[in-house]
Amino acid sequence: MEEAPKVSTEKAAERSRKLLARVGSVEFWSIELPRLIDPWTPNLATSFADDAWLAPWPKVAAYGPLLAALIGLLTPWLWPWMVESYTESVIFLMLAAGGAALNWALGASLLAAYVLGDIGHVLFRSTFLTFRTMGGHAVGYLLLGVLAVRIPQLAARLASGIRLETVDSALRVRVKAALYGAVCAGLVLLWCQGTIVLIRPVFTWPGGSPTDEAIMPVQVHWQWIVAASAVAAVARVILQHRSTSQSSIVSGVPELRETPIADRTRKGSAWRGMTAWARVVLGSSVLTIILAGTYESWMDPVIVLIVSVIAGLWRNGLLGKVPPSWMELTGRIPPVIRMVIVPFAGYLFANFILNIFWSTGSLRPVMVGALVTVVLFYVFFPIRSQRSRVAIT
Amino acid sequence: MYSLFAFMWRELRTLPRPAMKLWWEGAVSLCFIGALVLLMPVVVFASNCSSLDDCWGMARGAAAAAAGAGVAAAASSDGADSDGSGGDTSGGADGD
Repeated sequence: MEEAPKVSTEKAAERSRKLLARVGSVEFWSIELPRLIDPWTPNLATSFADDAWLAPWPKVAAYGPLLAALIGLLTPWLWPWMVESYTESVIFLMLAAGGAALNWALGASLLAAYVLGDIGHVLFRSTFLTFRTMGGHAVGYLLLGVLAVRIPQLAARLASGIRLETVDSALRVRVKAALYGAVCAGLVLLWCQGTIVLIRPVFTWPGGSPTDEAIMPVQVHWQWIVAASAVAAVARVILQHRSTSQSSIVSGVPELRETPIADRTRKGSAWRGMTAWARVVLGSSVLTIILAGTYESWMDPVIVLIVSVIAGLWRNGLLGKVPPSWMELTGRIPPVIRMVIVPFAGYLFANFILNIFWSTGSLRPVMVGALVTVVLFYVFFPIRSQRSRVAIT
Repeated sequence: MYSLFAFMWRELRTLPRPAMKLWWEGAVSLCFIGALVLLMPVVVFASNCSSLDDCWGMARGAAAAAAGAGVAAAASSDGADSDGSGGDTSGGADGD
């Protein structure tokens, strides 16, 4: 009779060991987990799959995302200066921006764990939890997602648009490092500027006001966050180059790197199952929620939703056709240059209307400026079919 | 700015000594990042944030926030509203 519990305990211990070994492996983070979530959240899956470039250093690849997850999970509970929002800590923002630029999987696991940790923390300390409180925090999670998941991916795509045609591989790597670092820095800077106003729902939806502690890190100490991102991005390109050169002598690494790519047919399959109209409306809804910090009345989100849906439909070729001459022109301008033009033009427009309406004190001109920047982004980055991409290049 | 740095890169390639080349390339890389980080936010001066005036003090600070908010919002939905591939942000080249 005493043997049965002993056997079951041993089995449970064995199972736990196997689970731990599985989670603590590079294959789990760069293949199994991305495959699991790829149909639903392709961007998050891409970030987790990025762990594969660290394969020559398996322990770093396996334990890095675990460590990032631990930091994300415990920070809302244990970090003494973080009360309402992650923007209260410059160090956390540096970790998020720098970690994500260094290895996308670090950013993804930090984000996922932070969301879980923060929800638990909010539930624990709130005696009466309202939809408005959780809604405000959800806007904060979306913003953190932009910093920790979207910016490194977007920066890599933008930087890949410019290539130095030279046989000197060292020079090519340095140019790539400088470019990726610069694009990451620029995007993180824009994120910091936008977050000053976009983080407001975390405070205003439950009925409070944004605190100085939550705004100062992104408004005053943004240099540290931008610098962390730029340095990490440069380090990533250099380390990735070393990883590639080491891969030829480490067996199994090229296969590991190719495996997630070979599964492209499943990428975002849940999204592709939807009609293009539904995807545009859903994308515009996310955009409308993100811009919530700039709203003054119920009319504002309605305007943002309508304008972004119309612009999104046009961009996707569902509402009129993007002129081929414009497609050709934008195709000739490197994406990174277009990415400089868009915020600069948006800034000039916002500055113009803010000077006119400054005395009103209303945030609406900020909303209009942001919306115009979104439309400019859509205009300068039209969606072209794979066939036309090949034709242009 | 891009043209200036592209010109500098091209000139650097003609330098004869590898060690000197390395130093100059490092310096140009840092300058490029520094220029982007320092020149763009010259427009931003602010101290705290409770209303439009208190928040930024100047229209250009609020305008920078508007531009940043627009890019952050567009980046968040880019890919969600298409087939998952996003807009033409890669310029036709392959990503990493």
